[in-house]
This record gives sequence, C-alpha cells and structure tokens, in this order.
Amino acid sequence: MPGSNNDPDNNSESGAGPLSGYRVLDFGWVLAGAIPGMVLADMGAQVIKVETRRRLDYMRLGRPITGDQPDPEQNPMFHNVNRNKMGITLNTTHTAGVDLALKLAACSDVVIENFSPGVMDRLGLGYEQINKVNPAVIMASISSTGQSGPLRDLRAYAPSIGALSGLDSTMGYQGERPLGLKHAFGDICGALHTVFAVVAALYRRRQTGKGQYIDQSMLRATVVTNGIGLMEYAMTGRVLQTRGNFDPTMVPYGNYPCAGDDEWVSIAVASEDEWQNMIAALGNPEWAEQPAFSSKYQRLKNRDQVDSQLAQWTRSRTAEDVTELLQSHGVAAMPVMSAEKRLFNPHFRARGLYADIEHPSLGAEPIFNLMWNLSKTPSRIRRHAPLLGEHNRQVFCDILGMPEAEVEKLEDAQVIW
Amino acid sequence: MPNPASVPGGPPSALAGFRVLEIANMIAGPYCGKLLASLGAEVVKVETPAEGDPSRRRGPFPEDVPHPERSGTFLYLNTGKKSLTLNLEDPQGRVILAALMPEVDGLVHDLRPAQAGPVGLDPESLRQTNPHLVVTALTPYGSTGPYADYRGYDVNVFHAGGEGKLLPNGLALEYYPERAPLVAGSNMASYQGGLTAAVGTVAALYSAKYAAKIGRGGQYLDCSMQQAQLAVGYIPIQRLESEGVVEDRFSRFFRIGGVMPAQDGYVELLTLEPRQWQGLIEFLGHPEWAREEHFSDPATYGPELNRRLREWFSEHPKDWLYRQGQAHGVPVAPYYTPAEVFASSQQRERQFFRTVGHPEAGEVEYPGLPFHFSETPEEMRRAPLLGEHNSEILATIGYNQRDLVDLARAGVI
Repeated sequence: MPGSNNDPDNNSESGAGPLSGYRVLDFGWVLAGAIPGMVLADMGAQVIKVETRRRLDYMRLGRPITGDQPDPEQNPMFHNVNRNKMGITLNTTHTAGVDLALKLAACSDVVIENFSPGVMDRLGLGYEQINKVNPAVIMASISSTGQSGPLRDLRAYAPSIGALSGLDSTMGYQGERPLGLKHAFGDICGALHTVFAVVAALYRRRQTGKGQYIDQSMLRATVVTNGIGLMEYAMTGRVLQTRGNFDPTMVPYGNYPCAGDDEWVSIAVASEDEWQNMIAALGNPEWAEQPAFSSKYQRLKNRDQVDSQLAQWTRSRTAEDVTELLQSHGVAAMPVMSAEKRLFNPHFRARGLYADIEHPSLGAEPIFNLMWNLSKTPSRIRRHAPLLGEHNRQVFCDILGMPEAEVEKLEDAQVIW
Repeated sequence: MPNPASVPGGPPSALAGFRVLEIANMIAGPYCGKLLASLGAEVVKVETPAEGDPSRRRGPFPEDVPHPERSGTFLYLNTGKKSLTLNLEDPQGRVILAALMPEVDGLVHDLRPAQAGPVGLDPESLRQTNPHLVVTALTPYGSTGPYADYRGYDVNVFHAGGEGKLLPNGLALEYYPERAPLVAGSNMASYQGGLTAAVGTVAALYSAKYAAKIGRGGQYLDCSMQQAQLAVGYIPIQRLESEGVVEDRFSRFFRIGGVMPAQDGYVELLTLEPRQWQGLIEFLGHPEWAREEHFSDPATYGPELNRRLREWFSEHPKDWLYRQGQAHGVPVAPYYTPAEVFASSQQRERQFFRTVGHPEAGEVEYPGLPFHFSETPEEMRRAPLLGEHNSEILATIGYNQRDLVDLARAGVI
C-alpha cells in the first residue's frame, strides 16, 4: 500500500474504527469542509487539520463565551466538527509552506479541501500536483456548484444552495410565498456524500493501488435529495409549490397545537390500520363516523377537516401525553422538540446522542456523538478539537522527521503559522 | 475532469463486487441502497409479492395514470437495483431469505426490533446465518432505547431532530408569527437517514474486509433517522448548552437578508462579511439609508434595512438581481422551482440530468448522482420491475424455473 500506510493491523492508537490506520490531510474549513474529516476521524482515521493564522477558520470566530475578547478557542461548533482531529498551522502563501503540505500529502491516504474552485491549483496543491507526489491519494474537493461549469465561481452560502436547488421553493405554508429553509443542510448533505464517496474510493484503491479525484458539489447533493419534486416535473410537467406540512400519501400529516406556550406534536398516519388505532386512542369520537372520514380516499379529499378535528383534540393535551398515548396504539407521533427537550430527552440520552468532552478553553461540553452505533468497531470521541497549531511538533517532527530547531525557524518565519 | 463511462471492459465502479440485500420501503432505506448501487454494488431489493414497495403507489405518474411500474418515487429511489419478490410472512419465504444471507456482504433494512425478530432478521439470528454480514438497521429512532419501537415518519423525525421548532425562521416570522412549525417539503429527514446509513454501511463493508483484525468481519450498524437529523441541526443545542441562548423560530433569523421578494419571484440574500456589505451598498447605488456602519450594527438597523431592501429588491427581476448581485460579490441566489432547476445551465453543462429508459415508464430525465469520480464510473441504470430478477437470484440458491412456478402459486414470490 502506498500512502501512510500504515498496516492497519499494526496501528494501536486509534483502536478498532473501520478506518483506523489511515491518514487524512484535511484542508476543509467552516462546516461543509470540516465534516468529512470529522466523520473519517470518528471512524478511526488520523486526521490532520491544516489551518493558518493568516486567515482563521470562520468556525473559530464568534462571540467569546468566557471573557470579553474574541478567542479562537471558544466556538462550540468548532469543537463539534473538529473533534478527534489533530491540528497544525501552515501558511501556504509561502513556497516552504506548500512544500511541507506536499510532504504531508505524500504520506496521506486522503486529502480533503473546500476552498473556492481553483485555489488549491494556484497554491500548487491541486490534484495534479498532489497526484505527482502520491498517485494513491484519494482527493475530494467540496464546492458550492462543482469544479467546472458556468457557476463554478458562485458566491454562495448554504441558504443560497437551498434556493438554487429548488428545495426552498416548496418550503412554506400551502400556496403562500416560499420561506426557505435557512440552515446548513447543503453543507452537511454535501459533506456526508463526500465521505461516502471517499470510503468507496478507498475500497477501489485496495484493488488497483490507484487513487482518484472526487468532485463534490453541494448543489448537486441537495438537488439529488430533492429528487421527487424533480421527477414530478419531468414526468407530469407540474411544478411543486409551497405546500406546508404535507405528504401525498398520508393524512393526518403535520404538526398539531398542544397545551402550553408554542407546544406542538407531529402526527402522521399512513395506513388504514394506523387510522383505526388512532381513532381508538381518541376514544372513538362521534365525528370519526362521518362519511368524510370513512375511508382513506375520503380523508385524502378532506384533509382540512381531519386536521381541524385532530387539532381540537390535541389542543388541551401536552405533546408528551399525546405522543405516549398514540405510540402505545401504534401511531406515529412525536413532540416538536425545542433544543432543551432534545438535549434532555431520555431516549436520546439512553442512546448516547451526546458525548461529554473536556475542552482546555471551555471545560466540560456536550458535543453530538457519532452518527450511528457500530457493534464491532465502536469508534469513539477520543479527543477534543485541536487548539490552533496544537500538533505542530508532533506532525512536523514525528511524522515528517524534521528537527525541532527547523520547526522553530519556520514558526519565526511565519511559515508554520 | 472526465468521468470514465460505464462501458464493458472499462474500469469497474468503486463498489463493484459487493452484494447487498435491501429490505426497505419508501425513501430512507431505498436511498441508502440507491447510493450503494450508484457506485456499482449489486443491490437486490426484496419486495412483497403483488404489491411491492408502497412507493410504487405514491406517484407522480405520467399523465396521472397510476401504475405500479410508473411511479416516480419508486423509479427514482431504486435506480440500479434488482427486484426479488418474497413473502416474509410465509415460512418458505423466510427459508429463502435465510438461504440468501450467506450469499451477500450486506443487508440494509428498515425494520424496528419488533418487526425484525419475527422474520428472522434480529442481530443474533443474522450473525448465526452469516458472521461476515454487515447489517444496517435504519429505523426512525434507532434500535435501542425507549423509542426503539416507536413509529415515525418524516414529519415526526424531522421535528425531533435538529430543526424542531426552528422553521420557518428568518424573515418569515415577520409574516407568520403564530402558525405551526414547518417541515422541509422534500422528505429531508428520510434522505438524511438514508445518506447517513450509506456512509456507515460503506465503512462497515470496507471494515469487514480490510479493517484492523479486531474490526474485520460482519457487524451490526444501528442507525437512527432522528440521530442523523440531529447532526444537521446541532447548533441550537450547542448554543443553549454553552451560551444559554434559546434558539427557536422566534429568535433565530438573519438580521439582515433572508427571502427577498423580486419582481417575478424571490431571491435569497445573505451577507456575512464586510466586503459583501460593501458590494451590496455599491449594488444598491449608495442610497442614503444603506451605510456600512448600519450593516455592522444589525440589532439597531436590521429591521429598517430589511424593509428598504425588500422594497428595492421587489422592483427588479430575480435573474437580474442574481447576476448583478453576484457580479458585485454579493451572495444572492434565486429561488428556483423544480422547472428552473431543470433548465439551469450549471446542471446542464455538467451533464447532471440523465435520461433513463424504462420498459413501462419510457424515457424520463432523472436527477443524476451527487458526486463525480475521476477514475471509476458512477452508474445510473433503471429501477427494476416488480420481481424482475426472481429467477436469476433464486437460481443462485438452487431453485429452478419449475420451483418458481410453485413458489408463485404458493404466494411466496
């Protein structure tokens, strides 16, 4: 095996994660760029996050939590999406910085980056250049709209991707103006597809010994996960509009008001059995015997009536009581949860959704845990997100074998910076 | 970078050689299988005889004529798979399923523990049948804990994940203060669950063959759609825990920007950096009401700036705002409808949409695949007809054509 390579069987540090023994050079930043490295690190890979003091990762910026001065070690989301990584500082505007980056790429299995298309090429760190020093490397570039095409230089954030993908145009109350989604879905969606692609490419590399380049567009990933709306247009010419909380096959389907201030419960019923179970849970009310509710066909035609009857029933009850009662009858219900409810929910606690870590700057913090539970290779949160340049010595001296004096000299010259 | 076509004699796709059984309906589990198939894994979808995956009845249908082989939801989410009909409630159906298990590397299913046990798909039975098998259970709330057998559809999982109580946010609240929280209209939680399961599955498949010795062999992947959705929206929990800030759809919004009405539609405007404010001010033509110090103090000037911005934006067409805004370095993006997404030049230029033929549904342009590999092909083959591969697959475990007739008569396949 070329690359770091690390006979996986001889690696004791990262335990039994599926990717233990692999090394990832991670130029990714902010959210979309940080998550692939995070997942790979969660799976046991050794991930070296490359940062520079010249331009800090935006994720490090933000209001200070303790004290009143901005502090790059105080952003909790940074701590989430960079856990399990090592961190170095490297100024790639210096040729010496680029040389060091290439040396690291030469002994890595995966390189991740999400700069604007063309930036890595200009720095001398594009796929062609990296491939020359390491033909086995898997390199993934994540960008808003891909590395080619007329929109490659688009200025966009995740909400812009939501708008361009068609996803946001259906987000809104039925028949009214679109309201958009406005969260980082495009980033995370693009990032997770990248991890899938990288692991698949690693598998193929085991057969061929050759690496490859993955061009990951956040826009594409978002469009793909909005595929049914596009199929609707392709097959019928109909253009989906805003439609609130709606599913074409389910009624009731949506959020219903509950006792308390801004409390809601989500209820969804697909089959006739589920409907009968729900009516039984409600105590077989008289309204349910009307012809408008007598069959699924009728209910699909009379959604609004179903919704208003159900809302009358939920309004005097707590979301938790409704959930427990309906679930005990085999009906899908769940409170619409505030952040606080999500944090303290007993089921989520029982499943270990949060991991408590100790961060040098902020102390004890809960961060979100791994995204799944694996029975045999249960990766774990091994360490907090790196402090800026925390592993410079370890990476440059231990991995690249540079004398400490040279590292110091490069620090003074603002190359390791 | 050119992508090698999937041609006979060409390089194999990245996951060629893996065989995976899929016992999953609708969107979440099938999306996981679709991703695996798109990189060349052989994915055999197990469907109930006669009816198949309920997504075959979901539509959309060409000309609005319902037909189980022409449902857009099914055709889209099952590209590249094979279909085997099998009645798991029939004893012989379960015998056949057990006989298939040693033949495959992975199983992706969406059965809650209470559903999986009776058909022999509990982790223990599966481990005995094939110790090398990677089993992915993708359920609404995961296979352990108090909600393990709770039912959940997209709307339930979505609001128990990261976005509960958060939508609609942004400027929306100025219009709709007291209405129900909204779900994303695209079955987001289902796709997010399927995607997360796919990442875990491909890693476990890889691990089964190549991990350090301790990780080698089969294992059980317990994947929760809710948990996957939480990763999308962890920020509010973090802000609550670390900063004591409660984020909900009343408090979380972009103080400047959001959905802006245009003459003929809507655009999304978001400026987070000073150079973007400068660009925006220039784009607006330096009006008196927009000054840099206003943008840097959104708490004071945000509402007034937004009112003025909406007024100004509403006087211009969305494509002009998009083009000119971008030319000034301002992140403006139009709200595209599905029709406009089809027409958009970026997707066309990069040959994203792919025309896929199907014996029943004919030729349809499908959204393509989310990634682009330089050396190995991505595959976009049509979805299978119900039971299309029964004889091919059952032959591998010793059933001949006459057995198939009896299996069909007995309602097993």
